[in-house]
Amino acid sequence: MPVIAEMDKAADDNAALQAQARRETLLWGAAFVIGTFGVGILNLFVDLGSALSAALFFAAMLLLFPFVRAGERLQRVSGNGSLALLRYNRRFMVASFAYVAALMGAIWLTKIGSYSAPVYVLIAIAPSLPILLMIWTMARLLQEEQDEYLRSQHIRHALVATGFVLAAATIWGFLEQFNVVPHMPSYWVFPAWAIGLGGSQIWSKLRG
Amino acid sequence: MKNRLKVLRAERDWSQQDLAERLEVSRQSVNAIETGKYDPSLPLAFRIADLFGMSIEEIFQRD
Repeated sequence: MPVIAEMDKAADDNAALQAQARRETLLWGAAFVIGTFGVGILNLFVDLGSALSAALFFAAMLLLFPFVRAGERLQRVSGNGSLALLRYNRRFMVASFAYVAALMGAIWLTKIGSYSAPVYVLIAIAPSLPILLMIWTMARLLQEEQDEYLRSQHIRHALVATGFVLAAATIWGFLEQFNVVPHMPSYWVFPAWAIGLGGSQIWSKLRG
Repeated sequence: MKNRLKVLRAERDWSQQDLAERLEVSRQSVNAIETGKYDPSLPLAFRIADLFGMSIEEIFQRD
């Protein structure tokens, strides 16, 4: 049907714009991942000192701003954006910075002094609060998303991520039980879930 | 489920984005419905039918 083919071509007139937005998103995403992981890896080999290490990590975290902005632009030009996603991105960004600040603050506090048990409890719980904010942010996305197809996609990705975490935690638990792998703290559950979520989203994009 | 969405919007010279804006959904949703990757809910199917002035059965058919 040539008419339809022409129309689809017209609909993809902004294909170049989309490609550019996709490139920018990938670039900033890679910069963010390399920056944050890079500082972490650098810390393993070089003694940067806690102040410089924190400053470098915070600088790398700032790459989250252009990354999220580029992602939002990609969603907009490809007609896949929604108000709920916009809110989700903003809330997640706030939670990410709060997490880094709380974690660094907790590490710093435990380095400079010793406290009573209740204070240690408060210090230890502080970094988990922004993670709870992230979980709430995800729940709000499902509640606020008005586009039923996008909502179904968010739910699917969340289920894949949950399956991934359940499988990974079960396998790791048995490997740990038989001394094949070292103990892994349970706070890794959330990052593992996020990796599953990202993996599902990438897989979905690749499948088209 | 099969549907005639692509043909119907072509008859009206609407792009996927045009249709998405009229239905107040994302372009991704229109694409997923058109390609049969996603079956819309009954309320959305009614909105689609209303937009084209047709019944749901005239737009969506069993495989």
